[in-house]
Amino acid sequence: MHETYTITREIRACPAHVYACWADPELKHSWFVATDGPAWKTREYSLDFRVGGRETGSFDLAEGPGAGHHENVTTYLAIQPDERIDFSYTMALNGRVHSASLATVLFEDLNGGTKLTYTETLSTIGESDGVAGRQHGWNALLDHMQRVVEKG
Amino acid sequence: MSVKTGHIHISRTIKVGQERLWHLLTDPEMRTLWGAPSDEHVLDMVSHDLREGGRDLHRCGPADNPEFEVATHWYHLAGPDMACFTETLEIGGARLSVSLVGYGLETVPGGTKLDVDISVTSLTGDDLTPDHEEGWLSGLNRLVAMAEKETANA
Repeated sequence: MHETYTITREIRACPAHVYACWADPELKHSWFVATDGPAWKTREYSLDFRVGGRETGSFDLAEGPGAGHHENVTTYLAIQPDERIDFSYTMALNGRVHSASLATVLFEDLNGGTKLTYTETLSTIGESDGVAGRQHGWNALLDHMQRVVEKG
Repeated sequence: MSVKTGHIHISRTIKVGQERLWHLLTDPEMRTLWGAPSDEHVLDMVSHDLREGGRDLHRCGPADNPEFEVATHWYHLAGPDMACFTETLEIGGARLSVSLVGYGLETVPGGTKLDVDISVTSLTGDDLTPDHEEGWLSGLNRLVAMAEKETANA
């Protein structure tokens, strides 16, 4: 069965600026990758932000229930600049894909700021941290993104 | 603006072995025989690459103008038990929808149980889920008929 969840954020920056945080490789790197902590180390990251383009990353988590080598592979399916991004991605732990997802990010004007809506539908494959894991991860990432974009 | 995502679940128990059903579901040539969205339409396979990370491209629609283009991206292939992929549907270069699709196969007395989960995200603002459901139901009806005919003739 597929499961769906949504995360919304109100951000003090215009939609074009928030969208750029996803489209511009340097900005994306600043919140999606450059957030390593003592237990979380990035091994590899690449972004090809265009329809049909891919984003790949691999990360090591040293401790906790999700400890191991994580990999994500994203394919961008549809892009409407400043408005919407649709992509699919898989997550793997120690070489085994455990979830496949379809996600949409909407950027809407909110009195000069941005309402960001992230919606993801996922299919879990065997043992997986599932919706809880994806939600936890995206909440943390969007926290980073919001700090980056609001800091200017 | 909102994201319109619809969910479809279709389950069939088919009088065919699990390995054979897996082949019918995933083999590019077999898919052209059942995968069109209606009895009046065709499915022409343009390219295929059946492996995790691989991509297929097919066209479907009326035989004289198969104008819909569908890109399939295979994420997970664990034959003969499970497959997971996305399909992106477009016409004339305009993207209409993206779908996340899962196949689950299980041997049961008398045949194989097939579960198909489809989540459809519209890119047009319209709810395209009923159209997708109609297409999948039509295709799976042909798949069941084809598989059970094979079994009867075996």
